[in-house]
Amino acid sequence: MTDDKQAHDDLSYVRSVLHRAENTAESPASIYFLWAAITFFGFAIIDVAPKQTGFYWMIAAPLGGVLSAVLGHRAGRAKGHSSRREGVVHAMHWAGLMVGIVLMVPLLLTHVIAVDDFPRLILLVIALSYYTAGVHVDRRLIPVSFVLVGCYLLTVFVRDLPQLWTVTGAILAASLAVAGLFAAARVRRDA
Amino acid sequence: MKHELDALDRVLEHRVRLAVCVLLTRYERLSFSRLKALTDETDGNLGANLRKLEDEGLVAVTKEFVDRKPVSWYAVTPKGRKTLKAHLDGLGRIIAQAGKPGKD
Repeated sequence: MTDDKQAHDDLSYVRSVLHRAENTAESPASIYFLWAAITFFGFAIIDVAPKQTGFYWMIAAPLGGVLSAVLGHRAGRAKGHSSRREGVVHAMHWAGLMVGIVLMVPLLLTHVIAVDDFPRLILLVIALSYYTAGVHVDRRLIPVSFVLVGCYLLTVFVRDLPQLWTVTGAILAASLAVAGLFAAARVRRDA
Repeated sequence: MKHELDALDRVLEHRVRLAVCVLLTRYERLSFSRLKALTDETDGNLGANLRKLEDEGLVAVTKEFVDRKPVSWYAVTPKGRKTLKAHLDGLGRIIAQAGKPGKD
């Protein structure tokens, strides 16, 4: 085999190994189930106790972020994969989303956005964030981002639906749970 | 072409060792079992290649217990990172030379 052919074959092999690594480096199922629960209660609370919504998310979002980091770290170690750089990328992405949402609060306080429309705007921002996370971090988040966009449109165009936010939370929780089930199935298959 | 071949590292000419170094540069620390799954090599073959990389000072191994099971974690050393970069640059030049007009 000539040197250039050998070099080409070696690089093709390395590329295939890297591709395998990228395709199996996904968030663990537990993180999806955690956020399915947080999301369901976080949206249902808008129908049940709207005044407590802000308080709920102030506690649940950072707590969920910390728990996700712990679960991700533990799952990575169990899988034999430990990357501080990847952890930082995840943390920066999701912390950026949280900061973005916090920075939208002044729009609410200055009445630029109506109170009723604030969760709709947040849904759209979360959808965008899930989409970019799907493109750069974990492909399984892309379908969830489409569900988020669907929920956003539902809340915009079907405003009179009874228990609108509970239905929205249930749809989002279901999509996250399905993504989690796929993650769990993949782990079982790779084991 | 001779100059490009000189830039290649003998140890990294084996594609499994090359793949291991690339993976460790990308993911920082990987366990033996994870490397085995990714490279699709046998225990014996992967172990021998990792030992070679370790002997040459290109990767370092640490042993820990994860969920009460012993796990060998591999990481690329600064020397390994530098050697890999020079090797990949050399491979790139060989492929670029091969693509130039006038090459058989």
